[in-house]
Amino acid sequence: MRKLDTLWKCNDNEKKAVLLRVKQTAQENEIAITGCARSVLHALQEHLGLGNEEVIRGLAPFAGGAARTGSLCGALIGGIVGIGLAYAPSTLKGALEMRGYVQSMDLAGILFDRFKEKFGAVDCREIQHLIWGRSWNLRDQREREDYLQPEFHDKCGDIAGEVAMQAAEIILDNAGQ
Amino acid sequence: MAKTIDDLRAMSDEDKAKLIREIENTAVDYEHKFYGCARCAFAALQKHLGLGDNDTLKATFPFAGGGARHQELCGAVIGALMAIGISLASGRMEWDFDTPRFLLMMEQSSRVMDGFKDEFGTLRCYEIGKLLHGRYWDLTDPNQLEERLKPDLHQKCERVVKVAVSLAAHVLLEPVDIPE
Repeated sequence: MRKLDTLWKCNDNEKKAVLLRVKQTAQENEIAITGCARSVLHALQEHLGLGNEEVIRGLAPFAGGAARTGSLCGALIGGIVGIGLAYAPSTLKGALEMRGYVQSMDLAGILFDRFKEKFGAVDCREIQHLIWGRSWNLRDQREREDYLQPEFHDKCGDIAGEVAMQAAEIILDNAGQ
Repeated sequence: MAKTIDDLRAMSDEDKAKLIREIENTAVDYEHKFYGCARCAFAALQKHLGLGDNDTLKATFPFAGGGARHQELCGAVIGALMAIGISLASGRMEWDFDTPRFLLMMEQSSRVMDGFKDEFGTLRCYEIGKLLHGRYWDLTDPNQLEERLKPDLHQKCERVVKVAVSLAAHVLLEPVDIPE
C-alpha cells in the first residue's frame, strides 16, 4: 500500500503534523542545497511517498525559475509535480477522459491560485521584485553568489516550505473524492 | 536489447538526424491524439531516448496550458527540461550548485530555453497562443477551453511541441562526458 493511501485516512491532528513536517523539510532542503523544485518535491516524497529519484533528477533544471531564467517559480513547479504524482494517470491514451487527469489539472490550478494570492506573482523574477524591489540575473555567477547570501536566499526557503505544505494539504484534502 | 542514451549519442550524425525527426513526429502525433503539451513532449523523448519511468510521465500531466491551464511557462518547455534533468542531473539531494555536473545540466537546459525563445519570441503560453492564433483564450474558463481545444485550433500547438522536443533531442544526443 502506498504511504499516501494510509495518510488519506489520517485524522485532522495527524494531518496537521504531517503538513508541518512537509513544510519544514522543504524549507530545510532549500536552504541547505538550493533548487526549489526538487526541494519541494523531495519533502512531498519523504512525507507522502510521492515520486522517486528520477523525478528529483527531472526537477533539477527548475531552479531560479527554469534554468535560472527567472520564469515560473520552481517551487510552484515542484508542488504541481507532487499533485501530478498523486492523481495523474500514467498513460497518455484515454487520459483526457480519466478522473485522475481532471483532478490533477483542477487541483494544480488551486495550488497555482493560492500561490499567486500569497506571493503576488508566479515568476521568480517578479517575486524577487515584490520582496526586495529588485531582481538578480541568476545566470550571472556574481549575481548568483550575491543572491545566495542567507539574507536573500532564505526567503526561497520560506516559499518552498509554504508551497510544499499547500500542495500536501491539497493532496490530502481531496483524498477519495 | 534496447539502446541506451549513450549508444544513441555514439550514432552517426545522419542517424541522429533521423532519430530527431522520429521524435518530432511522435511528439506531434501524441499532441494531435492525446493533447497536453508537457506530457506529449516528454513522452516522445521518453519513448525514443529511454528516459525516466511512469512517475516522471505522471509528473508532467498538470502542466498542460502553461501550468494547470494558467498559460505561464510553456508546458512543452517544462517537459523538455525534465528530460534534460533526468539525463544529466545527479538526483542526489546534496549541495551541487555550481559543481561541473550541475553547471552542465543548467547550460544544456538554458540552450533549450534560449532556442525556444528565439523561435517564438517568448516562453509564455498565452503569448505563444496570441502569436499562433492572433487572439487569447482564458483556459480556466470551461467554455473558452472547450472552444480552444477544437482540433483546428489545437493543432497549432503541434509546432510548439515539435520545436521543444527537437531542441531537447539535439542537446541530449550530443556526446557528453558527465562529470561526477
